[in-house]
Amino acid sequence: MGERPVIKIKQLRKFYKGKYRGVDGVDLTVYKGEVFGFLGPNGAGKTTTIRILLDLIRADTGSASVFGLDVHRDSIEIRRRTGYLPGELGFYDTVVAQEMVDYFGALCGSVDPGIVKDLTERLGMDLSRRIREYSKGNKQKLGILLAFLFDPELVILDEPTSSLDPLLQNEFYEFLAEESHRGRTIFMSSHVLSEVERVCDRVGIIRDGKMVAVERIESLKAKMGQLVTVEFDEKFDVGDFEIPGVSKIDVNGHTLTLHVVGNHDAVLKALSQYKIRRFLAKEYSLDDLFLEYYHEGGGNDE
Amino acid sequence: MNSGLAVFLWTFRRKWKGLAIFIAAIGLLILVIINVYPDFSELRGKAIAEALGGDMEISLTRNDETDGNYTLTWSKFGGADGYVVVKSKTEIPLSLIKGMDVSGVNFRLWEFLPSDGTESVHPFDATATKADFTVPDKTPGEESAPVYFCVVAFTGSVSDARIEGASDTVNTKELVAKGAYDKLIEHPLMKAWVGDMGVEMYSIKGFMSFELFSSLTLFIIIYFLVQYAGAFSSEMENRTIDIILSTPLSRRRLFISRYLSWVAVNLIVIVGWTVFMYVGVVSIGETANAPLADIARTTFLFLPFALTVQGFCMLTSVATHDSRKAYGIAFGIYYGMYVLRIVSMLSERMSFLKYFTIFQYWDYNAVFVAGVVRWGGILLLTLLSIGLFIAGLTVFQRKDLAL
Repeated sequence: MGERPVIKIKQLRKFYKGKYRGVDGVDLTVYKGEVFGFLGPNGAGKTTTIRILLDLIRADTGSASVFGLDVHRDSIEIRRRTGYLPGELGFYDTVVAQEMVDYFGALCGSVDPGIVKDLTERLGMDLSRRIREYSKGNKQKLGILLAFLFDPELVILDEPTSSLDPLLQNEFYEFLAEESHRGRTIFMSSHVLSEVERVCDRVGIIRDGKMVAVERIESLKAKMGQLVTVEFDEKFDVGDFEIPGVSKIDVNGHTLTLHVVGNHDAVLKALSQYKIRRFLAKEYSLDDLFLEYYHEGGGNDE
Repeated sequence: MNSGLAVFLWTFRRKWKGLAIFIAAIGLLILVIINVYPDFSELRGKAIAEALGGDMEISLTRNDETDGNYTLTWSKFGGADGYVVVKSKTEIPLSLIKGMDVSGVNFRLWEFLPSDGTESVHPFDATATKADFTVPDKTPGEESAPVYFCVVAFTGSVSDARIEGASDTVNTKELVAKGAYDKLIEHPLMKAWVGDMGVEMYSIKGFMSFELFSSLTLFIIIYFLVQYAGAFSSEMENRTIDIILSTPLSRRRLFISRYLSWVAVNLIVIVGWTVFMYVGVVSIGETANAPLADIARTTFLFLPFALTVQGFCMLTSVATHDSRKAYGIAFGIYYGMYVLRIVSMLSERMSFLKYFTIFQYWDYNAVFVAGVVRWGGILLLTLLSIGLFIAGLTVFQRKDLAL
């Protein structure tokens, strides 16, 4: 992965009809060759950001560039080098899939028939059928095929696995990993953390139109630790647990919940002062961390 | 392949089946209706002959040699309920008598062509058998210019009519077929819907004008509205636009290519329309009275009108993401213009409203029947279509294609 930025977004704002928030000050940089996961709940602003990058909609303020080119002014050159899988896939349903591929290829200029053949085989597709006969999963595969059809330098995928069954999802993750190894830059939105964890190098989390965190996956994992839930027999002093390595404390009656990242020894010592009725410790997952960001924000922006 | 050409061909290819069915449908309609004409014409001729019966005798007398006073006298004849006399500097072809509306004693000339000094010199009168005129003396040395008169005899409750004429001798002797069918034509609602007919229905041109040009114009407008009004908005709605514009295709090129593709569709409709009309005319042996050149001139002069409809549709189509709204706006505009046209027909005071409807500028009747091309109207439609094209393109280039 190089350090050359492929996508650079600064203070991007978009309010639909001047009042409905799309994004509200997004800052983001994606580097050449990396697989970047763009995470956020529905309505957070992921698709708005992506559509601005492709000049399907225009930002109110802020700037966005791809390959160092302005997303509006140089949109055609950007799209010449960028593949895109929309989150809401729309096809001309009455045509045969091969016709759609040919049309798309004609719009792109020229497409290597070898790539079409390879991708079709790899995705296990039958292009001789009408698109309306396709299942949702097959339509998604067709979208993936079109996104990679002309060997683009950058691929933008908006929730790419939303219609794929677990088996196909796995195949797709492998496919992405291979594409990543070939040096392709991939910018992928999702609200499924497990897939981002599996295929992405870095992740950006967007909430209410603002970036709340941009982290390497390894950094996120280092923050995971354990979730410890303790039910005491007696009253306890929560101040005893405000110790380094405990990042989150919740109290509910005689029950205490701690998010412990390292320093387990100090936590156990603090607990040993009290009579404990029940004790539960479980791994703090990325999903928990993700939900924490969703609900509260936080994390460190890069 | 050039991406613009790809869009052109793709758009066209997706339309061709529907287009072929549409052309086949209007072709069948044309052939069936034209082949009704011979029976219709014969029946109408008989009906009028029976209603008006006998010959009208017309004579023109100069009262003295110096002041140019003339008296036109005519004989009453069976079934006639009243007469109107018209004077003109040119011969008065029947096709130029436009929609005379007689109601009781009020005579109103809706529109009388040509605008070269034609005047009604004697209003509707149920009993008159003569009318006096003054014709200015010619300037010494000038060629003698004929002055034409005609007497339009009405029978029936409204406007069954017979026209006979006299100049220094006689202008024309023909029967005008007007009956219950023509009352329908003369009704303002019908005029607003199909145009101001006022043509003799027994001639092939008049028959085609009323039966075919009027209804085909309507069918073609509806076809264009259905085809074009939701074209871009439905693509924004079902998100196909995302896929198309994720390629290195500019919005301008997409819009223009699609526009040109639809122009091709319009031309094919016009060619199909022309061919089927001519085949119909050939099939009843009326090519002498309705030659191909006259048909083609009329149908091809429909193009500016078609492009204006297309322009409206494209503009509404790019203006909204909701295809139902786009269709609603487009149909609403045409319905609104139709209402304006009705209002302009119903009220003399409001007649100026007709200029706000595009139907006013597509006068197939004048072109096909009278052979008069109103270039002002054609130019206006052409400019309007260009303006709508530019407006549509501008909106499309600036618009957020997603919400």
